Amino acid sequence: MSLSITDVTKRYKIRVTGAQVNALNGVTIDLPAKQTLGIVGESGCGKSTLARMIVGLEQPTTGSVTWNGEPIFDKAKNMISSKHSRIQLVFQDPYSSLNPRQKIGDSIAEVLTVHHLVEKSAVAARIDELLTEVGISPELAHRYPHQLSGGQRQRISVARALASQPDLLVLDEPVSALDVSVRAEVMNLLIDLRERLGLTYIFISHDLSMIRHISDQIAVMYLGRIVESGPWDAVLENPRHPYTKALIAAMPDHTVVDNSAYEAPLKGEVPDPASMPTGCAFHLRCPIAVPSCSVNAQHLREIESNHQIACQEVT
Amino acid sequence: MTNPLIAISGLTVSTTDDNRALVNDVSFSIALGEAVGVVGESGSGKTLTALSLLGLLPRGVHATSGSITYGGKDLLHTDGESLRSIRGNEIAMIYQDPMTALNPVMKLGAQLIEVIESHTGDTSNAGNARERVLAAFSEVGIPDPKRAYDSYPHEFSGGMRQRVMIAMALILSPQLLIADEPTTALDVTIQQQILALVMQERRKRNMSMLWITHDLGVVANLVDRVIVMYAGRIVEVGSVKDVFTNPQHPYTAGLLASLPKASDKNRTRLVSIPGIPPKPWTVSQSCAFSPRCGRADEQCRTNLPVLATNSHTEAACFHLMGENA
Repeated sequence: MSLSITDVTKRYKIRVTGAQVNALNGVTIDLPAKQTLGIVGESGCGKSTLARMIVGLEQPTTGSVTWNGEPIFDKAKNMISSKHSRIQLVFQDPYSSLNPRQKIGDSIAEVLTVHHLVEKSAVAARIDELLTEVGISPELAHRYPHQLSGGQRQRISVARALASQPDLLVLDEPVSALDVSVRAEVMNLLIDLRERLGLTYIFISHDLSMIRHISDQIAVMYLGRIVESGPWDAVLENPRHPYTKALIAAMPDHTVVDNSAYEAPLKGEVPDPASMPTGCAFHLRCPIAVPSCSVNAQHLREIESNHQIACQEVT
Repeated sequence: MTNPLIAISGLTVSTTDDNRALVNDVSFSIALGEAVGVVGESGSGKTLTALSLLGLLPRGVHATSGSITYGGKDLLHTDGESLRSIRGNEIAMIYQDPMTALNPVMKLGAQLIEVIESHTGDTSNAGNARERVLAAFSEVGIPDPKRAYDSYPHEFSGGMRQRVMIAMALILSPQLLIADEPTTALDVTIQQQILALVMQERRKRNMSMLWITHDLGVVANLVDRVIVMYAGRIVEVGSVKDVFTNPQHPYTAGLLASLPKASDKNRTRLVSIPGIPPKPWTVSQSCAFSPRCGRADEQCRTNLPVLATNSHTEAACFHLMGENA
């Protein structure tokens, strides 16, 4: 089993201006089952578009996304293929992804009955099983989301996602909305579930410290492209792309108490995806750019085993 | 501290309806030129503490006791008019979300002009005011100040809007800048730019700063002293170095231990703090952290610990972490 994303692009048209937004520009990912791919990047880099595409909520403009060789989006039927229940998405904010008027047991029951996952008579038992799996006492099944803490709510979102016994979970900023002291327990839960159920994860975050903690592979995205990818330790301990280096330098680090830490920030802002720079999209902010960077588009190339970057200036 | 710029003493903030204490007996001071960070999770009372300093508490809550001494005045007992002249002129604030703090239907230049005119009372010299605004824009790194002057907030990115907010807060050269999570909504490379800008302006002006955040990484590299709040009370205070390297309160130690460390090659399991913070008003005669604390005993459940100096920091705890934190 594996996830294959092959040369995927996604273009949106802005209705008012007619401008094209290139949300994804030739993204290729091969992820073997039971591995965790961490995708890191700033707003507008395309990481959430990619997440939605992997679960079939978006259709690629060109290219293909397959799980076990089968396309996730069935073009002939113009719908998500029947395989979709094997792939589930967990959103950032459990406040908005759970129905506030529905008891948490009922919101899990809904998943089970809509997809005909278990016999009617077995629904209650399965709810207990799922809640126990994520470390929530089954007695809480009759509570409403507002009666739970943020961490508990996110556990419920995970339980809902697990209801269809997925192989692959796409986790889009799953701990970013949580208080610092509960992030650790949710991260630990995700790691435990991965080991116990043999899950494959796509873990999307802007927080490198969480990406570092959970990922086997890491892909760094900038403006719709992967600019660096490889094993987690190669990418974070021996970063080669100037953007990856800047991202690591910009991460606030609580283990270093040093007042000079913010002195050399990356200049400029992320360009508007509707008017992309020519050549390498990063050249306007890049500390090592040369004139040809504004002309030559950059493609991923291997610089050491499994470690790829898209930069002509790094050798 | 011999000469504090502002001293908060015994500040308690409660709901007006049912007198529930949200901030409880908070005391600290900020010296001239000093940067103080307040860290805490949602509901810890950090934002209400900051808003009290400006007399900007939201409807439904009010300061029930304590004092805030600034320039010989108690800001809690100062009339609206005098408070208005301190706010902006001497104490300024930047917020988390510049889109809600800026007027969406007013050009940015006009919004800054309004700040100057309403606080100085001088409406006669429009040309001079315009020059001041353009200079302020360029000082905070806005690339084309003249264009920014005639732009609306929505035409700017989040990072640029935050620069406008900073320009607005600094234009009257305040003594104290209060910042409530101003970089939380920004991307990390933009956050780094804003933090660098704030550091630079602070040094240049010898300005005092109160920085509120939940992000321990941000304050570690930004402030001189850190205050840790939990359930409406201060549980630990100390120099940033002491608090981060020798935390004495089990809550501070637990928070630091729960974060992944970039130096941990084995990616060991994170240490989580079980449970959730209590509502501040439900705790009065015990340590609010005791239900979640591995060190808690009978004493912690029946007595309220008070802040006391130890060999590293000041902490409110009966069972300090000691040297092995």
